[in-house]
Amino acid sequence: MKTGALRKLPTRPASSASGMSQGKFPETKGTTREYSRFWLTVVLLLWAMPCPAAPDSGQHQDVAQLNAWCLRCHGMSTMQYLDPTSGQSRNLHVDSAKFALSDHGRQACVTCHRNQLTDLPHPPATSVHHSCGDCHRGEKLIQRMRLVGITAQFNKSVHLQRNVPGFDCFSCHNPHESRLEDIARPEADVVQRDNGICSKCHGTLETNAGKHAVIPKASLHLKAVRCLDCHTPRPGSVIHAIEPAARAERTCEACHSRNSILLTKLYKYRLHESEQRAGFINGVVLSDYYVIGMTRHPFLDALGILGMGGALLGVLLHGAGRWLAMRRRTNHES
Amino acid sequence: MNPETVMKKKVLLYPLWVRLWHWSNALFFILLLVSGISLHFADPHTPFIPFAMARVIHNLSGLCLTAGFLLFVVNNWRSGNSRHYRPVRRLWLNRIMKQADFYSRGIFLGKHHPFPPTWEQKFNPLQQLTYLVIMYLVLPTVIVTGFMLWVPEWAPNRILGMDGFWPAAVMHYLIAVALGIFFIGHVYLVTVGETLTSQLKKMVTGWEDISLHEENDHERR
Repeated sequence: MKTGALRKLPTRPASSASGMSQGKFPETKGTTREYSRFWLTVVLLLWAMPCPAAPDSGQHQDVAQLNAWCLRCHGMSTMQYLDPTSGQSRNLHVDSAKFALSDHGRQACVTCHRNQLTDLPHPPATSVHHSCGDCHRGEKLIQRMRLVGITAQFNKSVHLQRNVPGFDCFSCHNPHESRLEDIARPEADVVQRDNGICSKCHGTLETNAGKHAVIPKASLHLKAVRCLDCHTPRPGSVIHAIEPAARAERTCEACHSRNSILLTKLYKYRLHESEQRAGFINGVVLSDYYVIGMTRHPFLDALGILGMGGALLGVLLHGAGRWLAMRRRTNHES
Repeated sequence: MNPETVMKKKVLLYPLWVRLWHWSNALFFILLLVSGISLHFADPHTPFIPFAMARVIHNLSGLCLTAGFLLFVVNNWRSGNSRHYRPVRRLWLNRIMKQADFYSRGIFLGKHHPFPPTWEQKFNPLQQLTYLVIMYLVLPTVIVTGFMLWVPEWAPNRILGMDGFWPAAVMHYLIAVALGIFFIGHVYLVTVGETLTSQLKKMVTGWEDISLHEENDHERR
């Protein structure tokens, strides 16, 4: 979504382009006239160019003022709407502070919510964008390809396959709060945030701990890994293709091994740090966890193998030496 | 004096509770070692023991070994068996060196054990040092770190900017390696008795031929 689209462009005079070609500018000396034409061309070109992506302070002010008008009501934590058809209340609250810091914080509310917003209550379907792709389709090729991949995964997800009513990108990704940079936050925060999204529909940590009783120390596991890490295909980072519970990962070794699936999921964005923490393999997790079977130290592993192997070799050699010495003594005596 | 001519007496040096503890401890130790190796080197493609099963074996064996250890400490103190664990301070280093010399040279030359077992001291100096460290330092540490791994809430939250769990995990692993090395040495040393199986027999029957000659009595402290 380009912020430049919000800028109010001045109305282009109908005669501006043709005026220059018709020579309506005052006649001056050759060089002055050429300079004038050059600068006029520059000005006209700049004027005709699309707005830059980074908005100026004036535009910020416009957006802020525009949004403040919406947030006067929607900024209230109690802002709700009782849907007369379903009888359910809908939360219409937008956290102003989180929105300002979010990736969409520089957007005006009306960029997405357009229809007759001056009427109260607003008419239904005031949101014109129904998926991330509606805005993000025009960006770089690699991002477009990624979005195509995510869409394909999303279409395979159990939520779509089972036609969960109203399920879309925004069921999980809150456009008013999402921040790409959040992926760099400590894993414990990421897990808490992501599992909180699932918990909105699938129950609290406590109720889910009961459902996951097959996992040892279920509540600890649910605090340490994301629901997505087990409830999406493996291996790989296809975390939008959420699978039915029956297909969830149940093999302990999937995570508790050197090539843990967590490295392609939860720890995907930190993989480059994996060998850089105190020499541990997958040492990135040491900031939050030590995962048995996954967090290993090559030196300590080698020490263990060499130590026990050396002991075995030592006693074999000692035993062989004793046997040879005994044979020699026996031969000598006989 | 020729050890062949020394008078010997058969005594019950390993009472029933010691033998029961020893063999149950051996069983749980082997289970812990095998399941522990499987857990640490877990691989979904070539599982040594499936992780879920290895975890149960490891936890139950650890619990049993801990119970056995506590019973050992109490019984050792109450029965007087602890006398074998009290270090012989007299010429301590010399005695250790003498025993080490026997294992590295004397045993190949067919010499007799420098410190045969007696009623007061069934261990040779190296054995005593090893068992003392194993029973009263290494085993308690591996038990404590093992419980920290079992109940991670007991581990400190942070250590050196990392999760507080990792020192326990690393220490548990290193001690396990040390115990593995000890186990290999221990099993091998079973064969260095008067015959290949004499040491094994005494740990099954409990009876030991001890020397009655004063010069061989190395329990004096």
